[in-house]
Amino acid sequence: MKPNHLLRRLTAGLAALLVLALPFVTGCEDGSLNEPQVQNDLFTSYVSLGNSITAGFQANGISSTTQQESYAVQLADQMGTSFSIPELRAPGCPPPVQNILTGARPSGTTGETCNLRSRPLPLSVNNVAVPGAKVIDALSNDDEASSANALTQFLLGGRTQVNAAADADPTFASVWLGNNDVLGAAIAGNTDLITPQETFEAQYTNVLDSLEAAGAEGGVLASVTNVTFVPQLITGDAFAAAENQINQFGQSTAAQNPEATWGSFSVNSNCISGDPSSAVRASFQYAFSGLFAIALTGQDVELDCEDNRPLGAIYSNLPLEQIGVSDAVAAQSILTPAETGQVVSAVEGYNNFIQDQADNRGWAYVDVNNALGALYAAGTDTPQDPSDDLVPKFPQLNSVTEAGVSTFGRFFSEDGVHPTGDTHEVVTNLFIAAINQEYGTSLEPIEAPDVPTP
Amino acid sequence: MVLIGTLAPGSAAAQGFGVYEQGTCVMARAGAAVAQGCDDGSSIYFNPAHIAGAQGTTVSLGATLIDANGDFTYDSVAEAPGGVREVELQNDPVPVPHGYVTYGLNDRSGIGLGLYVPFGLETVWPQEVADGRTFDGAFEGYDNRVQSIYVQPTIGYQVTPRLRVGGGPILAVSTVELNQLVDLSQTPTVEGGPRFGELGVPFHTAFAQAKLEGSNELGFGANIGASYRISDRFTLGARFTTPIKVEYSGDASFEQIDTNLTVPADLTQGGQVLLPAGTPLDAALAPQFSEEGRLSEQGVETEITFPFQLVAGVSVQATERLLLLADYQLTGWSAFDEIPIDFEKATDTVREENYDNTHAVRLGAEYDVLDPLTARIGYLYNTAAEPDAVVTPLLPENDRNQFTLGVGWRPVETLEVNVSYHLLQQNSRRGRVRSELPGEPISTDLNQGLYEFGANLFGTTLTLYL
Repeated sequence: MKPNHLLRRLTAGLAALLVLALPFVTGCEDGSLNEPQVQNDLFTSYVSLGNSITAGFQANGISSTTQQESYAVQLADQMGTSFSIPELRAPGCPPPVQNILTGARPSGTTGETCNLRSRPLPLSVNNVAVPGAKVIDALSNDDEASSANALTQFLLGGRTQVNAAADADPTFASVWLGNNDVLGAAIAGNTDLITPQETFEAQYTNVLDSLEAAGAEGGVLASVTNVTFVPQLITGDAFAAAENQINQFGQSTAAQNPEATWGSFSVNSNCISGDPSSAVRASFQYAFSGLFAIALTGQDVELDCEDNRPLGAIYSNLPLEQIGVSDAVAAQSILTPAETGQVVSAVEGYNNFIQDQADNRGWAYVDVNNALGALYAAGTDTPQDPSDDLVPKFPQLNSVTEAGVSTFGRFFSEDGVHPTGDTHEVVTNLFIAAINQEYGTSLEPIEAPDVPTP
Repeated sequence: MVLIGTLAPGSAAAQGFGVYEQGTCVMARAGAAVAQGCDDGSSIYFNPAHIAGAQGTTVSLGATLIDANGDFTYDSVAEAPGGVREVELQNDPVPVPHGYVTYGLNDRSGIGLGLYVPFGLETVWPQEVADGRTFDGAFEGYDNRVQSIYVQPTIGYQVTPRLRVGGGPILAVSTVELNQLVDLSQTPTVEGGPRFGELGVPFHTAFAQAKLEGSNELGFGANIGASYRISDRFTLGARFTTPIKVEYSGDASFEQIDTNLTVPADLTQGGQVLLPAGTPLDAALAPQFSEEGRLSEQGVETEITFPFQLVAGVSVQATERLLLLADYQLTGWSAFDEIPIDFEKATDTVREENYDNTHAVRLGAEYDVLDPLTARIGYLYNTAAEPDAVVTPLLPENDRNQFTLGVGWRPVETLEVNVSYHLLQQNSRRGRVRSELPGEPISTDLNQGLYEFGANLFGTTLTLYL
């Protein structure tokens, strides 16, 4: 090959190299640069504030399984947005009870068992709800009225819900707070524990202002639950109807426990009202962790619906602590019709304010009580046949012996307060409907059990 | 050595954290020089065989100023601290020096001594972005420097009229510095115990600033080359620079940062209160920073292997005044697979890097406009060393397009001045601003946003022909 030929070929080769390099010079479309997309920019960063329900607490316990069943998680799924929860390793902290009447928990665990957070840790926490939280707890962990507890540490690391929500740079928030501002009062039978309306309004406003200041462009507010729809609170009529059943259960329980001697459990006729609106109520804890436990020591106990003293005062002659009645239960009393009225009135006051806030801020509002009321009412038209009640009006004591029977039915977990996964699905669709209506979005409802409509 | 040690290289302008701008004349040709070098002595690095043609004594001194710019933009669905989605690199322009002396022993052989910085890295990111919110990338490193200065005595020999060979040993003097925030959530509560994150402490809660540095550690290697002149117009060349492993033994210091977290309720175990409600977490952590604590000042060890370089190329004297050059380069970045960090007291860590070998094509041309004035241009494309899953703030690198131009002016026989400009453009690339968590696989699923990176480089070399 002559040098000038070689020169031409090499020069051509260099030119070809330049041509081949052109795509790199000019750049090219690169699909790998694309970032993940969310269904609607409004939902880019969704945070949920709330209490035990939103956190996913069920059956006196919480674990990754129950946390995943929270309506907030399912709502985020429908939004198509990334949503991290502060997962607690199975079996939980504490593990949920398998049966409230026996107190059984997963093998090898107790109510003191507490497994810590799962690893790897999420980069942020979107579900910032904490069991036991009142509205004040969203704002402060050290206020006198705060209910901060160990889960406040394990779920939020010592932050408040508002601080943790701000850390997630929210664009959208759900707030379901306020239940514990009345629930504790209802269960304890002490209306002094109800958070005053003015205080509630100030705290609730502060929460919403803080969320908006943190960047939330929209949100959904849920009503405070009417606690009279919760099966943990049992009417005097239901107690009266179940008197024989209670004694049979007591006898069989004592028969299986050599240290126990069954006395008797009677229900005073003053507990019969025939009208739920004027019924006396007592909590499951008052009746079973209190009266029933005392009767198992051979005592004769009576549910007197006109004795509004705390249990500890009524049975001051007994060593309740030795019997196993906790101080909290000993401090409980029945909930009189007047007190029930105060609780219901407080809930209505809260909810009127919450709805106003939603309207004023252009946020969505979910009234859970319509659906809950319909659920609670299902079957009540046949009072002689409790088997068709979707929400049992008295705990199903055969849950101890019959597999597949839940003490509080399909829609309430074993503590009689917190909803099951099925109920969370129903609630999810309530949230979706309210959000779609307010924002014109098209979030798809999820598959949920058929329930009566209001 | 003290003088050079104070001059840190800037962010990488070649593959990985390589710096190829070791002579302004060659820089203007996009680094294409393995078949035919410049006369300024830079062939000590680019191909020692060319020292065989040295005449008299040549002394060159110069520097390349690297002005890097870049940013990281969080995905819209990623949590951006304080809502600040774009975070800018904060590098200052950094000079990278080079110096060469060559001497022609006779017509067939020459010797020389070169001092250059072929590997260097500097990335400076902010610690905070807004309202005291911490930049995630600061936990990877907010002020990082790696530099390796090569000192190379060299000899070149003309074996035949067409074949020249050359080479020399390399003494590498290297310094590394890493400044980063320490994440409390990933820190064990006690040795072997749960991490604070398992107690709820949020991810990326800064509770300490860590400074790790190792200075003037030595490594050894060699640089060899050959060139073969096919004809008066065509020359082939090749160079191989060995990998050099440097082991660092330095110091680690930690400074406590307040988290302002307080334990909200009694934390108990077996009925015993471990931390009572109201305990400030910072007070509980303070003993770790005491003289006996695991975060007291202590020794630290690490090692880095600077990769091999294999270059082959051709030069074509197209006309009497026009020279064309093309080089292909393979760099053994796969040697940079991890950075082990062994502390005297704190928990040892390993940063997975998993770099890939890289490929580069360099095209250059120079034209003698006048006898004393030569104009040069060049284009370079190189692939990225970092795989898609490990693009981090330490070095947000990608495939690069680079354009160069420059002139050499030799007003008198004994003096030449070269100036050049180099534009580095990098394709945008998805990456992350955090490490993988324990048990979390390294994958592109960890990526959180987009890195942009670019640089302007300005070179000047003064050469005396004595």
